[in-house]
Amino acid sequence: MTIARFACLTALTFSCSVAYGQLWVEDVNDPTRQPVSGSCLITWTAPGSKACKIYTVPPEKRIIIRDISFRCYASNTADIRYGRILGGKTLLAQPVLLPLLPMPSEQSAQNARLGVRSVFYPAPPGDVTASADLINDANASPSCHVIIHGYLVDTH
Amino acid sequence: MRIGTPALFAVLTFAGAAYAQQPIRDVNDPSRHPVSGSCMMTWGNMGSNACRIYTVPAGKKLAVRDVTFRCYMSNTAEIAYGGIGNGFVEDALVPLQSVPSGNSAQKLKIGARNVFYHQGSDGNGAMLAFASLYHDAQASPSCQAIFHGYLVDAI
Repeated sequence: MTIARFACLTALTFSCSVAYGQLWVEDVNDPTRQPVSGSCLITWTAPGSKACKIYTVPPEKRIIIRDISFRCYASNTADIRYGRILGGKTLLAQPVLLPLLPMPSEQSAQNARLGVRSVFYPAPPGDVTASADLINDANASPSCHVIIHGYLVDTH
Repeated sequence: MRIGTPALFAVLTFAGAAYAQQPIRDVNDPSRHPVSGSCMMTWGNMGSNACRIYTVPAGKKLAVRDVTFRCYMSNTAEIAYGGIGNGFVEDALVPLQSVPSGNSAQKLKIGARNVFYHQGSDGNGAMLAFASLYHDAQASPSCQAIFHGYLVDAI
C-alpha cells in the first residue's frame, strides 16, 4: 500500500489520495485554483483610440480570460465603438472584440453603452490592455470602465 | 538498501497498473458541491439597491457560472443592468432586455448570462446582487436575482 501510494503521489502532479477504492485528484490548472480579476478606466479628452492596462500576467504564468465587460458613457453627440482586449507584445497577437450596445442611462444627455461577453482568450506574461475608440466629440467626460475575469495557469 | 532504477520502474509500473482500475474523481468537479441562491430587491425610491444572494462558507471558494435577473418596473422607469459582486469594482454585469410583461402598467426586463466569477470567504463572505433604478419608483419596482455555481475548497 505504501509503495502504491508513493507511486500514486509521484504520478499525479498535485494531489492524490486513496480512500474506499477511489482516487481523488486535483487539476493544477483547474479554473478555480488561481482565479484573477482586473479592472481599469479609459477616459478621453479628445476623440480617438485610448487604452488602459487592466492586468499584468506574471512570468511563467498564462492568463485565460473568460469574461469581459465594458460600461461606457459619452455625450449624446459622441459614440464609443467596440471594445478590445489585447494581451501579448508581438505584432501577431490578436485582440478579442466586444460589441457595445445602447443601455438606458440615468441622464438623458448621456449616451450609455454596455458590452458583456464570455470569451476564451489566453494571453502570455506581460501587460493586458483594454481599449476603445471615441468618435465625434469628447464632451461630457467620456469614459469606459472595463472588467475582466479569468484564471492563471502555470506554463513551466 | 537502495532500489535500482529498473526495480523502481517495475514497482511503479505494477502499482500504476493496480491503480489504473480505480475510479478517479476530481475534487473540484463542478457537480460535487453545486450551489444556487436568489434574493429580491424592492425600491421605494430611485437609486442603487442590493441584496445578499449568498454567503461563502469559511474555507470555501464560490465559482459562479450563471446569473439571471428578472425585474419589474413602471413603464416610465428603467433598470439598465444588474450585477453580482462583493462590493468591489471587479463585479460581473448582466444587461437587461425588455420582454412582454402581460401587464400594460408594468415593464418586465430579463437578463441572463453565463459568467466567470469567483469569490472567497474573505471579510464576511457576502456576495451581493445589485441594480439601479432610474426615472421613477412607481408600480413597486423589484428585481429578483438568481445564480448557479459551485463551491470548491479554498487552497
